[in-house]
Amino acid sequence: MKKRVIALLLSAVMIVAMFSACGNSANNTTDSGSTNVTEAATSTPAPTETATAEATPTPVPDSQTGVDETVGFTEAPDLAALVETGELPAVADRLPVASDVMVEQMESIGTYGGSFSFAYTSAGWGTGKPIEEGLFRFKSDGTIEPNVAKGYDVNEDATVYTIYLREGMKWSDGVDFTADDCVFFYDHMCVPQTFGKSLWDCFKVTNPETGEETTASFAKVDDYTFTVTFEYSKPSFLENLAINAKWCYAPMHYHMEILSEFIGEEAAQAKATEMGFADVAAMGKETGYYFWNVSGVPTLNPYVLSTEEGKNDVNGDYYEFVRNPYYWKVDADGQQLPYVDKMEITRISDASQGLLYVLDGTTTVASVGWQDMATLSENAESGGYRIVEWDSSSWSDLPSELQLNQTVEDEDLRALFQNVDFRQALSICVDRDEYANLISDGWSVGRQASPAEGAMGYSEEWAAKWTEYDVDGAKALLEGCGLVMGDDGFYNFANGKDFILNISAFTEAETDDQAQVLMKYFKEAGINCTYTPVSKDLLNENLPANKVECLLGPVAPAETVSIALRPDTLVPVRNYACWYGQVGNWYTSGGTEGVAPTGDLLELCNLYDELKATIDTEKRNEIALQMLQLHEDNIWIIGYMAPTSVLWAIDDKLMNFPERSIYSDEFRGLGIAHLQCCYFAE
Amino acid sequence: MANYIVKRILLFFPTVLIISFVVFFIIQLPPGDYVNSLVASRTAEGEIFTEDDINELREQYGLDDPWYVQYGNWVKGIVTEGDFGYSFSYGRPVWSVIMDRLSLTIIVTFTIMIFTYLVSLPIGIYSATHQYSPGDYIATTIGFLGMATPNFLLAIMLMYLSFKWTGDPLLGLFSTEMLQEGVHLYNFGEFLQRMIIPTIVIGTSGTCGIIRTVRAQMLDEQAQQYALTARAKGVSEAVITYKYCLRAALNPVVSGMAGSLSSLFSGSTISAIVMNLAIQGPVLFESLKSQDMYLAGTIVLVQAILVVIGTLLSDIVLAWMDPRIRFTTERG
Repeated sequence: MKKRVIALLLSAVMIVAMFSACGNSANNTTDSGSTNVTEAATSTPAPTETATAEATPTPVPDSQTGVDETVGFTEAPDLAALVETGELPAVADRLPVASDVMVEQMESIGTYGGSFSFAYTSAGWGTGKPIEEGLFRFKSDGTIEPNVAKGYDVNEDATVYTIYLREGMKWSDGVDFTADDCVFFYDHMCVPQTFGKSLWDCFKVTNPETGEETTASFAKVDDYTFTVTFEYSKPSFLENLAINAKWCYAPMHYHMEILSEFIGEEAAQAKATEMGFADVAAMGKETGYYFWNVSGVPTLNPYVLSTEEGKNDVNGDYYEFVRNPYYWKVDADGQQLPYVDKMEITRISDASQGLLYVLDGTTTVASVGWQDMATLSENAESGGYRIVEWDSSSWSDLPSELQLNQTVEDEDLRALFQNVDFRQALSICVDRDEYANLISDGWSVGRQASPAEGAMGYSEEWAAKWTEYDVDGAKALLEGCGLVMGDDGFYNFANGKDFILNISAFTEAETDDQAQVLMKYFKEAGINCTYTPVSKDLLNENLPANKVECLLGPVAPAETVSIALRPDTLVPVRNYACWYGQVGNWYTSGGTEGVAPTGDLLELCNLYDELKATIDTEKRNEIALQMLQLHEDNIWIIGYMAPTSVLWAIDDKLMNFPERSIYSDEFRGLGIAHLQCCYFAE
Repeated sequence: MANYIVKRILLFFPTVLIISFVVFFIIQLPPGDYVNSLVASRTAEGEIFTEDDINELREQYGLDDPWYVQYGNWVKGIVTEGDFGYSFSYGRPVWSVIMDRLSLTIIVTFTIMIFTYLVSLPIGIYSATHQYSPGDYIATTIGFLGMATPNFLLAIMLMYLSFKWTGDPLLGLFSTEMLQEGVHLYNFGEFLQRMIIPTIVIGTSGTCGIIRTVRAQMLDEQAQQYALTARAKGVSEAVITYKYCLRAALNPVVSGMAGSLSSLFSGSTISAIVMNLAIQGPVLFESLKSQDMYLAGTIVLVQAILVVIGTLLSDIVLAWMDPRIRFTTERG
């Protein structure tokens, strides 16, 4: 790997030479090259026999549960000091029982000390994802493994899930973590929408006959076991849970003292005011959903927000997450994790200052862009960092994604956009090699928008579909669509009306360079076009109002580990993406609003309905592949370039940071790096 | 004089009311609202929002009312309870967000102002009294360069040099240690060191502006009849310069101070963003961008009030300083 990085840096220096300002991608969550998602994440757990409380949990592949009784637990020196003075119970009493403790597998056993340093413009998910602890978590191969949960069982028709917890596990304030906390989360936070989120899809199941939606019910079996019961099969529940609800637990003892349901409207309002929230709703949302950013809320995370004045305000200029003394994971030697003492976060007012902090060696882990590679490699030694390259699950370079609204208002345009030949013409009229060179300075290659290599549905043919540069072919296709060449050198509709491709974009996506190059090719092929970047706010108004004809950029960013698990960007499940336009409205409203789809788009919606109601894993995979096939046939999302790698600048001394992984929201971004296992070499 | 001040104070209230109305109207003008920008940024981080979630957010923030209703409620809150509303993005009362950064903003801006006047006045006077001397040429060159260079560019250049030479770009006013331990006597030196770049950067254009103004005014005054007469009577050059000419030349400088109060409150914006200074300007910028309207509205309103007060004060100072102004106002 090291050699590879060096080669990478060298080639960066050579290629980029003087770091040019030309070409930039909207963010650096993009990637190219070989992806190693080995299998689609649809692999639902093989249903075992009907669940009983006694049944053995399914084996845990990556991490282990339980250590030998003879392994003594040890802890960080600062915690040992607190035990000494009697402020904390002994480490063995803080961890789950030896047979239930979670043992992380890692490259090398670490030592305690040091701190992570990050720089963020705002505290949102950026601080949350890296330390999030889900009931189940994704591995980089797209399968899930128990995390907070010890294991699970599921009955044959996938309607009853029995989930086992770890005995003796504790919240960061030392209170026992039990099945009550999970049931409480569902019954008192999800269902009544305490934190302002409508009930997630993972808790809903559709009656296959009537299409009626019913919701799950949670029941406690004993302190460390609870069941989730659906009326109909819910085969992908655990994966969906890991994506939608992620953690699926809440500190009952904490929330019972602040929520109006338990202490009354007035007292809750008083609590909210005391804690500085505008009202009860804001308190519910911040303490229930964005809890890691609120000081004093018990968590199961490796790090908890400091309670010290001056370090506990995530809107302040500096704040800290400190080690959770009750963290429930150990390494193979019985050392309690995490190794690193704390996370120090400095607020910056502009993202580019993050780069400065990388260059001067301040930050430990930071996401960087290839545009800055020359600068980065120049200062790598003095800044004491190395570059690590991850793959991304994006279908293409996000600012090079072109979407045509299939339900655009104008009748002529709609007919044209729905014509697959027109999309082919738009695709083949671009010289992708030249495009990729111009846009990415050689950091990427031309490609069609399609699943990343190794991901479900990937095929070489799809990645190469309609990528052969052929202007004359494009013109022939355009004429085949009924367009007529006008005197001005641009095509018109057969009825004489001018045809102009009005490309929208939003400024934050930084698609200007991409648009300039694409428009050059389009015009060469006889397509007159305009380009209008607007603010994201305005775009968010225009999209649902069906005012966007054609969009360049990631709304939504086509990205999958598996289409079955996270269909948002690839199936019209909500009023959100440009390409399916008003079909999203049609689908969510049950056919009363929006525009009814026809042809393959209708087929896609039907397949998705079918998928939701199918239990059998093989059958589900089959349907998912059919859905992807529809995408391949239609190329609703045209991509011109493969995504560039996700690049991290990592402190040279940081150990156990995965040299190769995948950046994807399902995997919680940086979270899959398991920061609790990282440590600093002497 | 008293009459004049009372009249000015009475005019103050309708002015502020009109300003608050205009401010609120303009802030809500762009399409979308805070919920749009919140949803946009959170969606980019992978969070999923349904239509219901979005509507509920809007209801929670009171954004489902028409803007004039929101304005009415806001003004009512300010007048009756002194409540400036809640900042959406900070999830805290607006006033507490503002107070957070106020003291630092005042310290930084005040230091810069002192720097500006300490540097610019002597140079301006020197340039005028030594017109066309090498010193004047140097001051003039620097003055023009300083006025023409955008502050933020200067900031970037100085930060680059600092990074090249010391390996530390000196981002922000506090080092990590200071952020952790607070500013104490033992690290106050470092704080002052970190004040150097901001002071130079933000102070430069003001300094250069004043140099130009003072120089031009002084040259004007020195050619006046009274200066000639005084010189003919044998009054010393120092008395002519400092007692007579400078006093008259300071008029535009003093009236320029009208905006000082307001800038003490908000500090600079773009340069502060570039240098990551934790002062009020970037907060205003962010709140305008995300349409955090009560926060933006309050900051702009307070700025406007301070401009009005500042103008009043500078008028009074001018009247006190310059008899010509005093007499016209008294007669009028």
